[in-house]
Amino acid sequence: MECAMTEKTRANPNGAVTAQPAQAPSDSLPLVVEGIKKQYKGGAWANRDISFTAQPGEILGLLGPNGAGKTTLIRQITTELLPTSGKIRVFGMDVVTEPNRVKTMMGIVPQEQTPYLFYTVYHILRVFGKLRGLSPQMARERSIQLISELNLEKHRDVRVEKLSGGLRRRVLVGIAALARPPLFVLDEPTTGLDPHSRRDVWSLLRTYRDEGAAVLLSTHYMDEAETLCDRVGIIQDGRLFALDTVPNLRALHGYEFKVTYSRNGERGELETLYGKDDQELVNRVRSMGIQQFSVARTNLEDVYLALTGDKEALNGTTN
Amino acid sequence: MARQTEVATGAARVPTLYRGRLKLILDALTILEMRLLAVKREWYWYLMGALVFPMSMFYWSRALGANDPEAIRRLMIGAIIFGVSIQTVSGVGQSMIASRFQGKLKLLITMPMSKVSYALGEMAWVGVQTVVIVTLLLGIGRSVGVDYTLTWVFFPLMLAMVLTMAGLTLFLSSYAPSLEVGGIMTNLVGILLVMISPVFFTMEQAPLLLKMLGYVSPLRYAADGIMESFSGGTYVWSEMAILVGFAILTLSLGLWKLRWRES
Repeated sequence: MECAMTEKTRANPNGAVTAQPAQAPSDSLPLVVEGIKKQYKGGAWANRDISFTAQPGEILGLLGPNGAGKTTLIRQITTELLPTSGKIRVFGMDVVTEPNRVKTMMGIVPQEQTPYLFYTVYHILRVFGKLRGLSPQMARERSIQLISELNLEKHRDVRVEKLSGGLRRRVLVGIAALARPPLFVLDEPTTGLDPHSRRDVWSLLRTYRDEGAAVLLSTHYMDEAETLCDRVGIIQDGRLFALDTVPNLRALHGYEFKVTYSRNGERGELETLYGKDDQELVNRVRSMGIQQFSVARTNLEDVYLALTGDKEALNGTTN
Repeated sequence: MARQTEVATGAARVPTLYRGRLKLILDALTILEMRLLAVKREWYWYLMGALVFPMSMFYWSRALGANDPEAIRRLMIGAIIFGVSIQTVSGVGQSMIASRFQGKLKLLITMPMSKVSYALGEMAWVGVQTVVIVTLLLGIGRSVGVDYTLTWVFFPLMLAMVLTMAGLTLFLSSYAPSLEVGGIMTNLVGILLVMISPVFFTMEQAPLLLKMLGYVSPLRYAADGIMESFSGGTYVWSEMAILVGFAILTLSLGLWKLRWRES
């Protein structure tokens, strides 16, 4: 597909060449993944026939256990790794044939990345702003603006090595946001962060989503996927098992409610019953002579356990 | 043609961005700026590291009995080649290996820049170091009475030699299995190449084995060409052609092996 960035150039009064704004075609989605397969040299399959799209103004989470193929998929989207087969398009541009143009549209936070330690927060944002393609003046201005947006004013002239893990992660999100990309791709952006730092990152991502950007992130935190993401994809063994909103995933799972109880009082082992109707579940537990129990809606973790094969955890107690 | 573009999408507007060849050059300059920012606080260690070894080699060799002005000139040339080569190898090697094994390259790879820009930026950094080292060594040489007349061919010869060593280091560092071994590998090859090449002495003075190695060592051609330049001559076309050939070969190999994306 012809890309959206065809430019009409003209010289400005000071001799620099600038471009007329070019409109992205309305049919170009932020991200289209079509039948992606990735096989490593040893023969192991990391991704098997994965297809999905990301829409503007949504946060799409990829949830899966370690080794499920999330990072491999993300590295292919960010142009770092070549797919074995299939297509990935970012605003209509192919990630294999036009990696640098694709990256101008994408803000990327790699997994477990430590930013350069010996620079101050301001310096690292400014130099990476220039690498993003901003003019020196714009890189300076954007860095100052981001320092404010990221609540890093107190740390502006502090070297990155002296920042906490949460603050470093905020700097990385800032680097990704330098050119206001319409697509963010983040690989486990909150791993290892304390609850406050995680919420700070969530808040930033919600802001970018609300501004119209598409956000794709991988995570293995259920609460993160459930709280933050508009849609969640569940990956295991390189396959995308399901992709939908959390309520729809629960419906797909088939059990809307669960009741948790113990046959032997407070000290006994907890058991769980799943069902579509909460009143029916309560009646069944009471018919077993149990008076102390709790009823709740099933959550993403229940769906995840069912879909990723931990059937024992689910089926063992399900009638 | 250098271009800037502004893209309006359904999301927030992407600001004006540099693209094309101008971006390539600006990226290389930004990489150089990053290197300069990183050494700003501890610059004197870099300077000492670059000067101590070549000056020591020069004085040791001279103390061993070289009194002939031509032999002293050759020792001076050897010191310059030694200093610049080691600085190039350790500078590019350490940067490349640290980038690979400490994940810094990963962050750069997320940027819309080409690996050529990265390599050019690293070369520019090596160039800055070379200018400082050579200027200081030439000044020190003059102050201790080394008799030389520099001609213009010295500069392209140095450039070709530095590019050759940088390309060789880029290539070698792609084979480094770890941070520690990578450091040993690049330094070992750099030092070995200087030691086995006839740079502190002429090809005629070299033993047979070193003579044979000298024919395939780029540093020997650099030393011979610089010797001619130090004697006021400019007829170094064969040395220059061979060095340029080495530079093209090693840089091509180095860029080819520089992993910007994996298959």
